[in-house]
Amino acid sequence: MAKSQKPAAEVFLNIPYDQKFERLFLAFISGISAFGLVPRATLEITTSSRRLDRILSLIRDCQYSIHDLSRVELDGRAPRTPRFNMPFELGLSVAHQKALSGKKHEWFVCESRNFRLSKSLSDLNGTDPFIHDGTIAGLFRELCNMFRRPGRQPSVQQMWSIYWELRRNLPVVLRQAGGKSAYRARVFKDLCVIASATADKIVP
Amino acid sequence: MKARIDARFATAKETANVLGVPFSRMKKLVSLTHSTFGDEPVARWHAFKTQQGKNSSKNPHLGFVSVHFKASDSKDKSSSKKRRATKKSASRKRHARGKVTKASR
Repeated sequence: MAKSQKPAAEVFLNIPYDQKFERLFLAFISGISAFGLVPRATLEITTSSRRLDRILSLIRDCQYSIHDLSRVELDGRAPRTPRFNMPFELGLSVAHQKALSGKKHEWFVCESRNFRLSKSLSDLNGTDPFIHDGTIAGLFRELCNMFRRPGRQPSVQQMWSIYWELRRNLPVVLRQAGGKSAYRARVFKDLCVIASATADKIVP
Repeated sequence: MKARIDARFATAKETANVLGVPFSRMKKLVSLTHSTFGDEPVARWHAFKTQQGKNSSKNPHLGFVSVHFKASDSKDKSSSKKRRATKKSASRKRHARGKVTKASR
């Protein structure tokens, strides 16, 4: 198969960083890598430069962005507030897409429950969110509905293989990074490389 | 509508470049995956695993998973159960040994 000349596309991943979401975090990395795309996230931002500028530059670098708005509920810690980061970054992506003239940027919205988005963010009425039901299988299914790669289309089964490879290697990566959380820049990058290497091997 | 991906399929090297992972670290990470996947031709490996998965699980999506993880877990559990079942206490062993020696006399 002839290799396309375009460099690998990047996907901006706008997801909640909490313990409950870790399974889906790994699933997002697996699924995106299975399509031969490179996941990017605000986790990478470690420099002291203004965070907002770095987020904007990340979105600019990416051809696609996926925004998971499934965590709209109030958090447990006082003062209890909803998370505004994810809708805010979605707004930045939409504005970026509208402002682009030649280059293209495509954005997708994920939700875990049907019809909730029309209540929580009615400005997006007319945009169909991808409902993953808060499950890994649901997420893989929806990623297959988002993307199409002629010639090297991954199956859900292959995404599962990558996911289990990540899960298997997560303790090693965490140990080497000296942390317990997967939401660290180094851990995220290591997982992306592992997922990419696995995808390149098993997606024919 | 689905987004059509025209870009090149990202390799581990490209991903590491984009994310700023050093080459030596990338090689180490890739070697972690080698321990599972080896150097077998990919298509054959995947077909083999899929076939195994179908045999061991009713869910085609979880077929591979069951081979890869659950199968080994259950094997460990069953073998430890077997060991426990066949294990004799020290006194029983001594008792049995005594019977054998008596019989040989």
